[in-house]
This record gives sequence, C-alpha cells and structure tokens, in this order.
Amino acid sequence: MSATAKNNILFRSLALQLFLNYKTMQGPGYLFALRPELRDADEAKIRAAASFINGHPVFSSAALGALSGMLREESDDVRLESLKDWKRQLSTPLGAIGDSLIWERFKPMLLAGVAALLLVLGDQAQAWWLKLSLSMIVVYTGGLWWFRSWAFDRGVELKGQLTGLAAHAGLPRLRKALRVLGLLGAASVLAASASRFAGHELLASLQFAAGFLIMLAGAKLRVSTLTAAFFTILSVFSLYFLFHS
Amino acid sequence: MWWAALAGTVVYLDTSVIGQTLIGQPIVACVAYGFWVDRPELGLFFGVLFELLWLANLQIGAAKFSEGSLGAIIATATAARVAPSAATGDPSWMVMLLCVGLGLVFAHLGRELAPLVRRMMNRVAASYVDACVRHDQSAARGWTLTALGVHVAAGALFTLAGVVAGHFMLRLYFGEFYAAGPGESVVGSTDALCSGVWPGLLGAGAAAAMLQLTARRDWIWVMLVGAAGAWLLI
Repeated sequence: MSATAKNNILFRSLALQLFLNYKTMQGPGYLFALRPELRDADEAKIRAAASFINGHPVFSSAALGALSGMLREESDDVRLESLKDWKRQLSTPLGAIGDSLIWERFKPMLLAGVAALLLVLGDQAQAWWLKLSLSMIVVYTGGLWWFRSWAFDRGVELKGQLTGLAAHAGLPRLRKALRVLGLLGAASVLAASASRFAGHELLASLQFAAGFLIMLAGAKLRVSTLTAAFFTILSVFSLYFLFHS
Repeated sequence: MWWAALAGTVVYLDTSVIGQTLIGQPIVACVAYGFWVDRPELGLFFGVLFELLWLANLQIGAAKFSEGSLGAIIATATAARVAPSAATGDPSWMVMLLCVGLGLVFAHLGRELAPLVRRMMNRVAASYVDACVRHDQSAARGWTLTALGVHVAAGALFTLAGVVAGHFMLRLYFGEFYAAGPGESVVGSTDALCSGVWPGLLGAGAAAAMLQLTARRDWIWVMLVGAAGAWLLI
C-alpha cells in the first residue's frame, strides 16, 4: 500500500466515531475510513467492513491495517462471515488495551501536568497558558499519530494474527513507565493545589482537605462526581460556619 | 450566547466525534473561550477546576459518561455574562459558585446525550452503509453530512440550553440587571462564604487526579511526593 493511501485511511479514521451507534458501534466508521480502498468492492465486502466492532479509536488503526489487507484478498461468503466474527472478537482487546493506556493514563497524565503547572504559575498562568496548551496538544496528537501509523503497519503485516500484538515485548515497559509518570502527575497536582492553601489560611486548608477526602470516599462508595461535589460544597459551608460561630 | 453554542459544538465534536485531540478539554476550551470574551480569569478558574474534577470520569467504551467538558463551557459562558464585581473588580464568588453548580448539573445531565445521539445514529449509519453498497456517492456524502449535523445540533443545543438556564438562574438571583454585576452588598455578604468553593473543589480535583492516574497501592507515594512538593512550593 502506498504512503498516500495509508495516510488517507488514517486521516479518515479520525472520524471513526462519526457513525457510532448501538447496533454496529464503530463499524460504519471503519467503512468510512476504508472507503477509498473499497470503491469497487462488492456488497459482501462493504458489509463486512461496516460490521460490528468497538475498540479504542487510536488502537483501531491496527485493526484498520489488518482489515484493509484482508479485504484486498479474494474472499468468498464464508471467509467474509468469519471476518465479521474476527472483528467482533477484536473489540475487547482493542478497547481494553487502548483504554487502559491512553484514556486512563496518557491523556489524563498530560492534562493533570498542565493543570498543575497553571496552578503553580498563579498570576503568570494567563501568559503561559497558550504555550503550555499548544505543547500538550502537539505531544498528544503527534505521539498518537506516530502510534496510529506504526499500529496500521503492524496490522497490515499481521492481518488475522493481530491479537498477537497484545503480547508485544514493549507493552509491560510502557505500562511501567506510565505508572511512574501517572504517579508523578497525580503528585504534582496534589503539590500544586495544596501549596496554594497550606500554610496560608487554616480554613482554606481544611476546606481543601475536606474536598480531597470526600472525593476519595465518593469513589469508594461509587457515587457520581456531581454528588461528591455537592457534598464538598456542603462541607465547605459547614466549615465556614463552624469557624465563624 | 451564540459564541457559547459554537464553543460547545467544537468541544462536543472534539471530545466525542472527530479527532479527539485535546482542544475540547476544559483546560484548553474554557481558557480559549475566556480569552475570546476577554475574561481569561474565568476560563482559567473553570478550566482547571472542571478538568481535574472530570479526570476520573472518562469516556470509556460504549458506557454513558458525564459531559464534563460541555458543563465547563456552560459554566464559563454563563459566568462571563456577569460583569466583574464593582466592589472588588474580580468576579463575585457567589456567581462562581452558582455557575460551578450549573456546570456540574449540566455535565451530569449530559450523560443522556450520547445514548440519545447513538440511538439516532442507528438509522443514519444503516442508511450510509446502504448508500455505499449501492455505490451511490452523493447519498453517502449526504448521510455523512447528516451524521455530522446530528452531532453539531447535539453539542450546540445542549450548550445553548445550559447557557439559557444559567441566564434565568442568575436573573432569578440578582434581578433583571444582573449583567451589570452583583452589587456591593451581595459581594460583601457572600464572598467570604462562597470563596471556599475554590479550595474545596480543588481538593476534590486533586483526589480525582490521584484516583485516575494511580492504583490504590501507589496512593501513599502520591501523598508523600505531593506533600514534599507542596512543602517545597510553599
């Protein structure tokens, strides 16, 4: 496949969630991304491309690579039916690995880092916001674009054996690195936010601690962010009246 | 109000539909909106607060999720319609508190937005696939634009509903002339009480970051490193 064709698919895959629906989830989005490859395809191949799949949008690049390779080959109805099953089975690993690495670590880690820096900068935050935001967007989208391209090539290479990527040697190292970076991101948010109140005013420090503990308790009790925030505001008022009574 | 709807549309498209870069995140979108309406201090306040609060509330799989980014834009746009306090020159804490509450409620209501759009998309997606099967290029393009239109309408109308609700909520509290900013008596009597919302919710946000970014076994390390960092910063 030419670099132009590959980049065209990857670019169109940015709209993978455009047709997200309950019946076929991202399936029609896959068809949208692969459409330049399927201009002359028959009905069976088009319906196979649009069949059910639901994975992480970035990790889906690997599935797109594999699918584009498989759809180029000669296929009969039986083979295309098994392709639909393969797509369905791929949803769980694609979603689980992508969500755990990108949605749960990489993305929030960058956002938390920028939030912490803006808190530390205080009055200078407005002047630095644009530089910090642009750097964050470049690192995030640039990193993910590189990964999309790499994963697409692996997909083309592995085709039906794509699930073998889950055993990639780099994955445990990546998880370990993200664990350390996540820890540093969370600690920097805690340090930056606590330093704004601790040592300055007792009431504000207590209100900060109350919010922190209520959110932890809320997570333990599985209540929504709305409920946790409501109880935080209630505790903030209670502490204020306690101090001024 | 129309700028807010436009910002809400961009946020909705970026967070749920196209690209999923970070421009729809509160820390980017709210501050950009704040600069656009010449109130960057509001953008930073709501951007940082809502970003941290919703770090632990991500859009995972096909599950319902809170529209934290839309809630943040609604809160910022609503607060920006109220002039800074004539007494202090800063936004009144009562306005900030009311807008935080509004943003939180609308973020929670937004949980129903994705299921609604996905149900509507069942038919649109099926029609798009049928058009592709028929090799009907113009119909396929038409259904693609329809899908985009559904998302644009969802983001714009939801944000508009939030800002309109905020308009009436603040008007109810401050009277018809709320856009002139709360008077000195309101600021004097409520600022000290309501300003606690900042440390309180920032604490909740710090906990949300810890919950999202680390496993329970690492919490002790986060607290130790965080405490050491805070001591250094103080």
